[in-house]
Amino acid sequence: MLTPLLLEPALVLAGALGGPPPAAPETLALRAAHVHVGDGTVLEDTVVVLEGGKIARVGGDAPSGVRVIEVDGHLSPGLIALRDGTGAGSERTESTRKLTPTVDLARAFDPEHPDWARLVREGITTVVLTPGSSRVAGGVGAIVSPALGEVVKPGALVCLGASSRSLSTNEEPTSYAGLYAHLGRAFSEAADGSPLARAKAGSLPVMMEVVERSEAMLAVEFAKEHGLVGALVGLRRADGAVEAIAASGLGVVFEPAGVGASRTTLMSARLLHEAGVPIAFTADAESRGAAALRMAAAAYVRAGLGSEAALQAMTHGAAEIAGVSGSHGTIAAGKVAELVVWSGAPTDLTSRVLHVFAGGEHVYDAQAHGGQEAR
Amino acid sequence: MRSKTLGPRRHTARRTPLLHAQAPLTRAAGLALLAAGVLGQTAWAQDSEAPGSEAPAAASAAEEPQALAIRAARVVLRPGQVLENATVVVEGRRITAIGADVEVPEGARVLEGDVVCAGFIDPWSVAGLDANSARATSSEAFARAADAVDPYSQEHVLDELVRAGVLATRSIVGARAPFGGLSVFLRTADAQPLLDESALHTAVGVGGGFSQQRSFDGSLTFGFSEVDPLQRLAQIDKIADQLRAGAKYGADRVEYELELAEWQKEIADKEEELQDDFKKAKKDRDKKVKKAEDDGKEFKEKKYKEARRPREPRFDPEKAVFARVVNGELPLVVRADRALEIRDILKQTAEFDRLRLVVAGGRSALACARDLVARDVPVIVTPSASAKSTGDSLNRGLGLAGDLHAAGIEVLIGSGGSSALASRDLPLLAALAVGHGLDADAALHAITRGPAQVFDLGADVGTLRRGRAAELIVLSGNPLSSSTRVLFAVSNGEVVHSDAD
Amino acid sequence: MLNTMLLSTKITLAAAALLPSAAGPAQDAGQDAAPTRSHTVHAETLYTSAGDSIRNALIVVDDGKIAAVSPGVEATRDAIRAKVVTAGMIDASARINVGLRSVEQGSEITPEVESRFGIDPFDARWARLARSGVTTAFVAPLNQNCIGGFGTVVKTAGGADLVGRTVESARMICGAIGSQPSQRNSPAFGRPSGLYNRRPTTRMGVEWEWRQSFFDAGQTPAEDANERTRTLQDALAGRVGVFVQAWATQDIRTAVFLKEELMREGFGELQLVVDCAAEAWREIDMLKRTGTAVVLPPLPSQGRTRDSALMPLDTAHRLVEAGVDVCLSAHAGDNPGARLDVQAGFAMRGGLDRAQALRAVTAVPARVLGIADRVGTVEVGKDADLVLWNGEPFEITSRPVGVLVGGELVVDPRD
Repeated sequence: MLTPLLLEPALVLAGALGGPPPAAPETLALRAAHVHVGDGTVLEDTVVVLEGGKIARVGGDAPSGVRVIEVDGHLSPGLIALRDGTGAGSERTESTRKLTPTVDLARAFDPEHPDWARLVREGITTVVLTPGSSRVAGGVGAIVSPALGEVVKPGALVCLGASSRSLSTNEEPTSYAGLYAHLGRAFSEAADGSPLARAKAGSLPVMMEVVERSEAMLAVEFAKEHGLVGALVGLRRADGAVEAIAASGLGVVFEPAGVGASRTTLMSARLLHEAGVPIAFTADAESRGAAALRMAAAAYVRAGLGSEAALQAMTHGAAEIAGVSGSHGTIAAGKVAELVVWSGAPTDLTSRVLHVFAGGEHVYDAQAHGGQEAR
Repeated sequence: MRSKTLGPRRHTARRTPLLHAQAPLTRAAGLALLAAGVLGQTAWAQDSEAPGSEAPAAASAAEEPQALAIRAARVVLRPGQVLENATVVVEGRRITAIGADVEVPEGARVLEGDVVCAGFIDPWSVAGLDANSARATSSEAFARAADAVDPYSQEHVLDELVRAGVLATRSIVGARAPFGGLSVFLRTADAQPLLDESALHTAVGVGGGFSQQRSFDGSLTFGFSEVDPLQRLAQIDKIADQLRAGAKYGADRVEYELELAEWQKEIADKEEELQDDFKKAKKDRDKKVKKAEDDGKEFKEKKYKEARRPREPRFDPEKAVFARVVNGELPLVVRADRALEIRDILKQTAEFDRLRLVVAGGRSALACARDLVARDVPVIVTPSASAKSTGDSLNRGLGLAGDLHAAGIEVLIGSGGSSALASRDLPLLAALAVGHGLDADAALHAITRGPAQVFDLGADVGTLRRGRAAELIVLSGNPLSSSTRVLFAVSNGEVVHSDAD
Repeated sequence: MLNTMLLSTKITLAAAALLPSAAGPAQDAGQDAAPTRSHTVHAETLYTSAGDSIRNALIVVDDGKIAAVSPGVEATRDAIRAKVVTAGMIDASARINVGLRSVEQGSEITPEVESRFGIDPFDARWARLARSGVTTAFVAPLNQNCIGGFGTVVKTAGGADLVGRTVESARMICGAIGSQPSQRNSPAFGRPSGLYNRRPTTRMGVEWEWRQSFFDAGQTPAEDANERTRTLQDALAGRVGVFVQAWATQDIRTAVFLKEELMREGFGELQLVVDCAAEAWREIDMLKRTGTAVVLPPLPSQGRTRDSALMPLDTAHRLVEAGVDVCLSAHAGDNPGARLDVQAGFAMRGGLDRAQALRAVTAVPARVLGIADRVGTVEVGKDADLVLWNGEPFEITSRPVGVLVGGELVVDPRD
């Protein structure tokens, strides 16, 4: 099923791509009028201390002798872009095989690609690189930092395609039954310690691509049967299936609802959120643009999703689905120092990104760079 | 929800320009009353007189809708001009008063919100039109979008637009045609044209064939093939040629009218002369009876008339449209993105000093900023998340609207007609532009006052002022904020959407 | 769409609230927003499909099942009244699958595939089917393979959970004999460029695939059998039925000859059901001889069906008179004539009496599909799948005015 070449211990990659550890960034403090923690709460007039690339403390007074940046606006965690292929192009998709469940997308990460700067300018500090949609099991997604050009976590989650996009008319599988037969076989034959085996044990999250509700129902059933955790990705509408999805424990990741998205899609995010289902948005910046993520969030907000819920979907919710909520997604002590300073509320499209911090470094300053990227 | 009573009126009062709405509406009401009488349901008419009752459509159209008093913390008269804690009074489908201490008419419905502003206007839309006409890849300059208005199949779409506060659109047919035709300025709440013929829409770089491509993963994608650069310049030449032909046609018509008038005068003079001669001859009956009869024959047969009648130029609907465009009667919208093409359009149309040019798209318009400012050409921008900025003046990405505005160009924001529903997201597009550099007031202007002025409805919609049509929205916050809700939409003086529903 | 759904829920709840003493202990469940599955239905005439018709029957439905049927009783105050009540209709060949994606084209013979993967519980046709009085449907994979896989019996209402709507039935593998399975295939010239460069390209090729797969399965030792072979062996052993689409005479013959050939060779006996048997009337003796049941396609408007098969108006009548098990089907088409009650009406025009026509859409398909313990008749203990008619069933002036599926009032006659 898989060529040995593509099997590669993932951890080696991280070292190779990350390069030598950079000098520890300066310790500094940000005092902001509004701090959007990312989990739905907002703190007023709060100091956030960054030290050694991490958030050292939230609240209290600024430590003496440390540079304090006054933020006349809003502070939020860096946004997390689930499902993206910026800079990878056709390298995301091994089009000769429908199932390559162990390939790691960290291999397709081009840290020097100029398009990354666009994402950073839109406040995106963490990206989940995933294989293209046309595969049944295209590989494991890698979490990367576009601002630092580093792989944060290779082999972070298993990407499965269970929508009509993964079906062909001229290649097996041509049917949902065939697709699940292949998936079922791949899971039952997965070697110990392989991504699929770890997904089965619940230690590696999955992102299962589904578009139609009927596909979601099949995916929910499959996930239940194999004990999978993670999220459904790309669902267009959830009405009528909310109960089943909520019972499955899976999250739902919506594609960027562009201009003219249907009302049922826009309403679905709210329905799921109200039912307690974790929601997030994909970025797909390579095809839809770096601003699509915020545009999507704003469109859902206009359709009734709360502003903080939308921000949560782009930060803490996304981190949970990607399995990195221990280190990413909220402004809390111990988390990586990935922050965005906004001129207004983060989910308001009229707000501008003023500063971006990644790994404790000040990687983008709108004024200093005259609207251009920092890197 | 939009008032259900709007539906039936569409049958009777379709395509009624706003300014002349009264007469047909009265006729509609008459018909409805007649119908009510026939059905023995005169109660309809009586019910409708009771205040606050759900009156049937046509019956209520005869009367004025219930007066409205709209109170808000901020009333945006026009972008940048705000009244604090003021009330807007609407009576008889018009704004009758705005101010802090205005008298609320008796029986008025009171609406409250944080902000009141003019309804949003999408200057580049396909909403409200039959989908096939909107998508057409070939069309004629004289095709009228007003004839493609399809209120029935588009009802749910228009409803969503109203809920989003988009109360008017300039909708075009032939979105993928080089000559799209005459766009219609449409009121979304009831699919009534505010202006039947609001501009001539043309496009450069479209009309290529349908192509299919195989992408890297083996799936087939379909799309329109790109039109090559030479063809694009040829399309501009064609527009310019048509303008010249239109100018000549217009001149010919004017000349004809003059000649016709001259000829008619000549005839009248001659007839008078003959009449005199004839009378004189009759007096001298004995002597000259034969000659007078001969002269009289000529007078009766009127042979002399037709031979010298000036020839009317052959009617050409296309040239007639371009003649109006050249005259400045209709704005000319040209969809063009590349700087080279925009420059070429400006150059080729420089000779027509009354032409009112509007550029749509204008992705690299910044490179032609000086000329656009000099010629006073507005640009309709469609902010798109996928727009990539390469940092040079040819490609500003999402910064385009802000940069054009800063360069002194009048910026309008339109949804670009990618789909009918796209117009619903007009406020989001404007917000996106603000988030990437456009001044907030300029963004609001770009979707309210700007489109109204550029497309000839500035005296009626787009701003809040005494005497203007009551096309306004009541919001829970800043007009462009993503979290703002449209609490009420008022169109044609009636509450057509209420968030409380 | 969403609004409509919410609205209809509200209406149902409101209706429940208006009937304070509506029968059944599950009434309180209405507070959980779950529709009640307990009702009382009164019929002026009840056709049970089990042989008798009952005047003034009171049917008590409790938690989705028929709890009691009392004859000669006046309607109680809370009963839902109807002129005629019958069992919910069963369409033995409802084609509500997701089309090409319901059949695995990676191979011509995929008996182990389950059709349920190709069924969309959100398909709008389900509601239409339920409204037309069809409460149970058999769905096969799209007939593009010789042997496409297991069919599924599902109720036409009951929400998004397809598993909950599935009725435990006789296991049947579905396939086709005739022109369909070979339609998309072509021989490869030079290098094959897709999975359609393959056999069969003709009827003979299709037959060859069937025979070859069963002969191979018959000769494979049990310990060497994979899932596919095991499924075919189950079919040979009669544990799994074989549901074959065959429109034309030659295809019906091929199906029966294959069954007889496999018996002669000692491989076993297939339990055959011929679907779309438009020309079954030409081979009545053969069908009787082998005990083969048939499912008839909707009556064609121009006499000819697919594969140019001729289907006269009296097809059902001739087969029933000869003692063949006949199920009618409407294929869940979009055409308003493609309704199962209309098809039953056509069959009556062709000579069936009302009881026979009713059985052909209730009890007979229930038996053929192996679900007679659950549905097909109005008897105590069966699922409360009922159709309430405003007149004699299948008359042109009659239509279903109320429908219960598993005790849930899908169409309320009082609305």
